[in-house]
Amino acid sequence: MAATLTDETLIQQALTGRQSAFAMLVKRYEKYVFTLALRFVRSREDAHEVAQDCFLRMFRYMADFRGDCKFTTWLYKIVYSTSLNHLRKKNPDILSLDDEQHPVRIKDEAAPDASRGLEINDRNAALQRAISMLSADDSGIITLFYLYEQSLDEICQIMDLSMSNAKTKLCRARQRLKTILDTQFVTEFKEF
Amino acid sequence: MEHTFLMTDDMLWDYADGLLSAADKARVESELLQNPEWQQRLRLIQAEKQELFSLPLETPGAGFADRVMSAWAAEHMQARAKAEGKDWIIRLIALVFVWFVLLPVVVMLVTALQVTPAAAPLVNLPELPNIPAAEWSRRLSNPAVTYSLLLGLVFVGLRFLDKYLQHRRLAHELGY
Repeated sequence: MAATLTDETLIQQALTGRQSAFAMLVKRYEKYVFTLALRFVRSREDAHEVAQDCFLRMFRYMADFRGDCKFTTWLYKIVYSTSLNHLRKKNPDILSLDDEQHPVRIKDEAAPDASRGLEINDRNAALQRAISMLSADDSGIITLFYLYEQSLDEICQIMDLSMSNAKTKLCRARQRLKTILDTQFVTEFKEF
Repeated sequence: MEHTFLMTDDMLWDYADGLLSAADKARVESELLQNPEWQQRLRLIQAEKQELFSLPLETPGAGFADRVMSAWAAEHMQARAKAEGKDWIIRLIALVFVWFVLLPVVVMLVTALQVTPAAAPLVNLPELPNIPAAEWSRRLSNPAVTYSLLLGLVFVGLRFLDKYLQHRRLAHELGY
């Protein structure tokens, strides 16, 4: 039954104070929000904090959601800005996730060194590791475009980018992913 | 001068991702028709894209949703408590207002009860039939009833005002 309710219906119900509707939205999107937060902040502990904060902000600003864009686009925009705020709190010098002078690899739990000798036979696991080794900005855009199937236009809204900038970033992220796969996961990805 | 088109891997990725302009898309398609190697490369890219699409999502720790709900409930309660904390101002205004309305009403009630009935007429008129409308009219003309009604309306009005202000404060706290 819960699965058949649309996001819009759940939002309306949550706005009238129905706690179960809010709980359903949290359950429906917890993995998406957590995964994206993890891509940006790079630590599971911080990602839990950010993801929780995202849901609280989602509820706080829910009444402002006018349906001009997809609910997911609006939600991922919250994840992006919350992650950025979280990183800025830790390092006030960070201006954006793409700040080359201040790389955002605060903790590298999510991006262990591929040469650690871990047995990675699964291509999925290797690909995930490779994505987590990218910069926050690169892994974020790859996740949004390929995993979450957000269009480039929607990514522009989420990450406050121009269309040409988003296109360049996606292309650059793809190239960097290829480089990591070619150099660190040669056996798993011979032809990526 | 004829424009030479140079096919690259990135261009093929952009083609697969649907990011090319109509002109570039047409050029890539024409190149693909002539070159089986690029066709093979496109198939690989599509397979790789499929792998990216089907990557499993990260799972948050156990009880994450419950923690979010607890935090939400706590925030909700906090906002409510904060809103209720300021209610003393409203209550004080209501008290002062009621006091100034109540006092004249009490005075009017006491005065109305002390009024002696008018002397009975000398001629005995036949008693009027008990018409409900006439009954109500007589009752409403009593100042005690009029002021009681007024008092009741003032209470209801203040209660509505109080609820409305509470709602507005709560909405403001929750960022609606």
